[in-house]
Amino acid sequence: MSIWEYANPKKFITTTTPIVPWVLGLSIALLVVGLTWGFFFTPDDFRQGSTVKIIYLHVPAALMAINAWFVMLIASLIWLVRRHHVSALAARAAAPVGIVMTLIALITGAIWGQPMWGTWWAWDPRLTSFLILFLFYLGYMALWEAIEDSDTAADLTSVLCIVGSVFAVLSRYAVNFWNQGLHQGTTVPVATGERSISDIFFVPLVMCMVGFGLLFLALVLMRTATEIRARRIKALEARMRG
Amino acid sequence: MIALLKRDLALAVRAGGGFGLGLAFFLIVIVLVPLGVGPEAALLTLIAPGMLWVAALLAALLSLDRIFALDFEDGSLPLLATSPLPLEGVALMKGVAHWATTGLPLTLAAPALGFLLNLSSTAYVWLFVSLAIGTPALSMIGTFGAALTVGLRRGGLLMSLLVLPLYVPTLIFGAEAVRRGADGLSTTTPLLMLAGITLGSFALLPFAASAALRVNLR
Amino acid sequence: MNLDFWSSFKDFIYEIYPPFWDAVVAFLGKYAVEVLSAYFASIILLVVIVVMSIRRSRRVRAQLTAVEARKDKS
Repeated sequence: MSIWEYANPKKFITTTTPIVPWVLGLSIALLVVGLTWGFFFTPDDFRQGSTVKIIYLHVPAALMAINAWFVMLIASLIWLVRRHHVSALAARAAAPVGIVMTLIALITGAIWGQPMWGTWWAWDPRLTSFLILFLFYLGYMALWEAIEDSDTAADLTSVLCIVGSVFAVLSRYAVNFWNQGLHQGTTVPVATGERSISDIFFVPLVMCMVGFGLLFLALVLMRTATEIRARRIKALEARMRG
Repeated sequence: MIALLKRDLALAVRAGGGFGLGLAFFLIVIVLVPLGVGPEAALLTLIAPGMLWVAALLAALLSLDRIFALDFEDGSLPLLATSPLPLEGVALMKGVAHWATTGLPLTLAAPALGFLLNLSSTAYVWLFVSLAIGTPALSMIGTFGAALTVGLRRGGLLMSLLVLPLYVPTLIFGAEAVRRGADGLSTTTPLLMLAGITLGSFALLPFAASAALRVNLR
Repeated sequence: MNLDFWSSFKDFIYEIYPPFWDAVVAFLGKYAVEVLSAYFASIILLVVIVVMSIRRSRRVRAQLTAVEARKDKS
C-alpha cells in the first residue's frame, strides 16, 4: 500500500469522485463563513478604512496562485520521473485554477491600490512578479492546447514548467532589484511565526485561506478526473477507428 | 560540433535572412519609438536604454523559429539526432549560431542606433557591454523555446508567448546596466547578474532543449 | 461633465437605488464601491471557474458513457 496506487487512473477516479463533493462543500462553507465574518464582523482599519476587508480575498488568492504553480511543478517532476499519467493531467488541471487565482489577486490588488496608493497599477516588485506569473500561466496553458498528442504535450509542458519556475524565481529577484515597492511585506510569515495582523482579522483570514486551499484541491481533483476521462475517450475513439 | 556550427553559419549567410532581417527590424523599431513618443530629446535620453534593449529582444525573437524549423522540414534534424553528436551539443551549437547571426550584429549595431535615441554619452560602452553579455542568453533561451514548438504548425506566435516571459530577467538586468551607466553609477551588479544568467542558460538550457527535441522527434 | 471614469462609475452605481447605497455607505464608509466591487469581481470569477469545471466534468462523463456503450455494442 503506497501513495503510488492512486497513480492508477481508475483507482484515482473511484477514490476521488466520492470525496470531491465533500471537499467542495466544505470549502464553500468555509469561504461563506470566513468572507461573511470578514465582511460584516471585523472592524475597519483606522488608516485604510473598510478597504482592509479586501484582504480576505486578496491574500488567500495570492497564496493559492503561487501554490498552484508549485503543485504544477511537483506534478511535472513526478510525470517526468515516474511517468504517471494522473500526475501530468493534474498539472494540466491545476493551471486554469491557478490563473483564476492570479487574476483575483491582481484585480483585488488593483481595486485596493486605487484608494490606498492613488493608482490602479504601479510597477511594484510584487505586482510586477504577479503579472509575470500570469504570463507564465498563459504560456503553459497555450502549450497544452497547441499539442495534439497527450503524452508529447505532457512532456513538453513539464519541461516548460521546470524551466519556467527557474526563470520565475529569477524574475522575482530581478524585479526586486529593479524597483523598491509600495507593497507591504508579508502579512503572515509562516516561517518566523510572527505576524503583523491582529487576532480579530486573523481568524477569518485563516478560514478564507483554508477555504481557498480546499476549493483549489476540489477543483484540481475534479478537473483531473475530467482530463482522465477525456483521455480515455480519445483512446477509445482511436481504437474504434483503427 | 564545429562543423555543425560552420554549416549553420554558412546557411545563414547564404540565405541572407539572418543578419539582414533582424538588423533591419531593430532599426525600424528604434525609428518608430521617437515617432511614437515625440521628438523631445530629454525624454528620449531617459527611455533610450530600455527601448534599445526591448528592440534588441524583439529582433532576437524574430528569427528564433528559423533555428530548428528549416532542419525539421528538410529532415536533417532527425539525422542530427541519430548522429553520434549528443543532441545537447546540437542545441548548444544552434544557440551559438543564432547568437552569431543575430545577437552579435545587434550588439555591434546598437551603439550606432543609440544616437537616434539621444543616448547619454556615458552609456554607449555599457550598452555595448551589456548587449555583448546578455544577447547570448537571449539566443539560448530562444533555442529552448524553438525546441519546444518545433513540431507545431504556426508555432511562431505560441513561441513568443512562451519565450518572452523567460526573457524578463535578462531584459531587466541588461537595461538596468545601461541605465546605471547613463547615470554614472556602478554597473557591476547588473552586469554580473547578466553574466550569471547567460552562463546558467548555456550550462542548463541545452539539456532542456534537447529533451524537448527528443520528445518532438519521437 | 465628469470625464473621470471611476468617479462616474461610482456615481452611476449610487444612483441605481439610493436607499440601499445609503445603508451600504453607512456600513462601509467612503470606500464602499471599492470593497464591494472587489468582492463582486472575485466571487464572480470563483463561481465561473467552479461552474465551468463542473459542467465540463458532467459533459465529459456523459461522453465517456456514450463512447463506452458504442464500444460494447460493436
